[in-house]
Amino acid sequence: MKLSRFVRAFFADLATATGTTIVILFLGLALFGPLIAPYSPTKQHADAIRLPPSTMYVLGTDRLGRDLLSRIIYGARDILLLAGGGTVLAVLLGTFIGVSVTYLGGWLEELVFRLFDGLLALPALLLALLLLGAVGPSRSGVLLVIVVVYTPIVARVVRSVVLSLKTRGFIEAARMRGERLGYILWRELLPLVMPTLAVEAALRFSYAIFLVASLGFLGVGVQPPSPDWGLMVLEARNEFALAPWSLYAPAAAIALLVIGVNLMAEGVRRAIREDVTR
Amino acid sequence: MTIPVLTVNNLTVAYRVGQQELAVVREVSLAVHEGEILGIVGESGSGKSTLGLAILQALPSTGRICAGQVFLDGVELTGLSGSARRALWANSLRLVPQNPLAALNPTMRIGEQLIEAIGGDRTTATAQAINVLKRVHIPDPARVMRSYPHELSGGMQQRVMIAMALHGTPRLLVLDEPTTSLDVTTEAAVIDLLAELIAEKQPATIFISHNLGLVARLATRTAVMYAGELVEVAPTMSLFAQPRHPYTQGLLQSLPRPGLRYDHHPLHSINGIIPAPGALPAGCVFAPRCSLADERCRCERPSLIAITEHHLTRCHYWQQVPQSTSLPSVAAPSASSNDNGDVFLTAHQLTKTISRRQSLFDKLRGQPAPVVKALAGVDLTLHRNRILGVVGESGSGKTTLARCLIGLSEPSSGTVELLDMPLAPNIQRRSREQLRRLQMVLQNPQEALNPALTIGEALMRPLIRLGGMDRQAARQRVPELLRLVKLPPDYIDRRPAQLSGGEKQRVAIARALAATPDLLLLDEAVSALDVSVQAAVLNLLAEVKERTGVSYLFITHDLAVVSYLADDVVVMYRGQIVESGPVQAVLAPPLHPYTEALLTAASARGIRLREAEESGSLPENGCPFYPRCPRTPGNICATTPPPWRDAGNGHRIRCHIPLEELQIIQRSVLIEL
Repeated sequence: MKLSRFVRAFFADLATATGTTIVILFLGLALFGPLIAPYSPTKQHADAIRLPPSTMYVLGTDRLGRDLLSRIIYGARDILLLAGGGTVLAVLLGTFIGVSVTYLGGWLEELVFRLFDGLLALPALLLALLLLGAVGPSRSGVLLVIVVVYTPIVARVVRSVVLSLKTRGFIEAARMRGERLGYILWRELLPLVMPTLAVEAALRFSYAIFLVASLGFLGVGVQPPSPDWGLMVLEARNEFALAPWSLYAPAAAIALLVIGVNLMAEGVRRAIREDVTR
Repeated sequence: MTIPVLTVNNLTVAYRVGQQELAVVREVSLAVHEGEILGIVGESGSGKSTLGLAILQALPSTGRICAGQVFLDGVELTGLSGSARRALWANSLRLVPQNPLAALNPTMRIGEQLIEAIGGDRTTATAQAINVLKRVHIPDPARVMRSYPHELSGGMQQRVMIAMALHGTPRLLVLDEPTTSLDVTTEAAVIDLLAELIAEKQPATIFISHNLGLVARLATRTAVMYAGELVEVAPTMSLFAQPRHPYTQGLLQSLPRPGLRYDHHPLHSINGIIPAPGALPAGCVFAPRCSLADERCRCERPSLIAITEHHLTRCHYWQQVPQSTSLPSVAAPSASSNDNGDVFLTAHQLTKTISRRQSLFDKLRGQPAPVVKALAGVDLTLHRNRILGVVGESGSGKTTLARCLIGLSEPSSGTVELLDMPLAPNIQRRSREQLRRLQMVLQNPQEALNPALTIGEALMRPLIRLGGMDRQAARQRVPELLRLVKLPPDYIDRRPAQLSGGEKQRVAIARALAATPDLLLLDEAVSALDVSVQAAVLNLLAEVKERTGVSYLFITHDLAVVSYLADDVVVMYRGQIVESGPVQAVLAPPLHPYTEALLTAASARGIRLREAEESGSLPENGCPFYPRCPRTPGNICATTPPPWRDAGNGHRIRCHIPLEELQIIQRSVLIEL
């Protein structure tokens, strides 16, 4: 019963259902990419340099004769794994810090959140470049960037909820019966943070997609010849006049995925709000 | 007979909730004449506020008048165009809302807001604003004009709202619970002011309140609302003397009255709860909770019948509504109520100072941080099997005292001892056994339960943590706990959102009682509840005490409740105890001028206090109550702390006025009343 309500929330109206469908579609590409893709993403077709879209190469080919459709399909796995994995890690870490440090309060809270404020004062991309400069461009580097950039944001959102909860009567009642810290944090507080957290996680996910693509575009993220969407935009940019389709395909993929995630997040937010006000 | 100012014809108002429309006010007809005050009483959820807003044409956007008309001086208000409606709001219709701070614009000075409300030429409006502030007895109108709303006390804010509502010549005044957010002493002064101004300006007035005492004092006629319907309308005197509807009768019976005591007279309480709009019974709306109801009531909806020219009731069997107001008195249990049990808990010289935020500049200059004394040296002794009432206005330190006893706040100095063993000031350092012995029910039932956890889980935890049970055993005990607070056992799997406020409070009480504490602290535990629910909770507390021998420390601002439930009482003012002793000795007659003011606030001829200053500039030495005391003998109060005087039988008061003199004053007051 609870599950069906959960599923229904993702298809509540046309916009949400569209978003969910788009996200599922891309998830399908990421999972079953090798089965769907017509060619290898790195295979260079010497006879098909910079071909416009045709029946053979549905989205055309790039300057090395690689099939763009196959590269987009394989690229979906990278971007979803990095953005999704990074978001999950950041949300877990941010929630843990946000709930426990805020509930404990005192100088620890002051210290941790001043530090986070300092991190948030730096533009996300600048911070990312600094970090990747230090650890070198790689997949795990990108993952680290997402965690470092988004953990403080998630922690702050969680903190705002916990602050309003920690002086409520039910928490004081728990203290009056000598509940252990763990029970108060994870059984009493966490479930009440979940609705806000679900919305925040969806939002972070869509920003993380952007961040991964941006890092690829700046050349500090996933390295060639991997079929990364941001990297594909970078490579296609120089020959926009010769082969505009090679730019359109990855740019459209990024835009479509972000729009899909946002539409889905908006639907989830509405469903949760209705659940709360009911 | 004159033509009424306000006529309401068959008014039905509905709110849109999701896809459907739910009628919350149904087929209400009433008329109010010039200068007349019509009281509207009813429990929360009865639709009384919605009715008020519908009459003013000020419903929120989700509300809609579905049927019926509202006439003001013969002009129909429903369906007026925007500009005509605005003109009407500016000139004829006025509202005094429940929460003045929410109704005043926090970014505008009071003067600006008044001038805007008065309208017209600025110079004359300014002069008028000052005049109207004088009319509401604001001592320094020029200063108040320059103030922002947050700089004024609650009573002052409400005076400003009344000034706004009563400038010029309003035709219709709606008072929507105008004193609910105020202290009893301030409430008394505001009600006096309203009575005076209404008598002068003669608007037709609708006074919406859940407080039957206030309605009895102010209203000429009273209408009782239940589940969106008027169930009884009558002149106030006859409604209170001879209620002709079982609901009215039930409400009146559920009030604690002087002379009733918890150990002899259980209060009457109305079974069940008010039906939700959309889940109304087919016949009479009150039938499911009515003791007179039969088959006819469940099928056939009664209409509003005129018993006499002025007395209307919506009941098939109004002749059978019991008229006697006496309560069944039960035999006194063992004569325990007057012998002192052993000393259980003592507090010595508890103080709690709260330092205000200090600017860095002041800190660098070495200025001492400004402090507020929430508790200023409180001594307290609690006996086993006794009920101690703690009364006082808001800000008197009642809640701080309870929180320091239980350890949720740490006192700045002083000690608390449980059975002669010192208790750690911080709750985290107290042993499990100490935690079990003391429990507390907090003020706000809406926050008492975690919305994410089931009622069963909430009730199991104290059994597991403090009772030493495993989950299995704890779960088996839960139905018993639910039965103790008169809730059905299937509530075990419900979540707090499915419970009403009264039910939540009962679960909170059950949770506090689960691990069989020896002392239960109750912080305004019944204040947020409707009278019929309050009666049920008070009965419950009396019953549990009888059965388990638990003691209570009962914090309240309601003296009727204290005189019903408490054995002993302490009166607090500004963090100090000013009077303490057995409840009969303290309250009848009151000796301390402050107790007297609290007690006589409900009467039109009681003594009134000067408005408290927000700044908290207390006399350095001397009596904290002196700046507001109406009976101060002179300068000595400002310079010397008042001595404790012993009035015998454990009754002690703190005042410069000699006891004999106070007794003489009070005797003459009693005769006057």
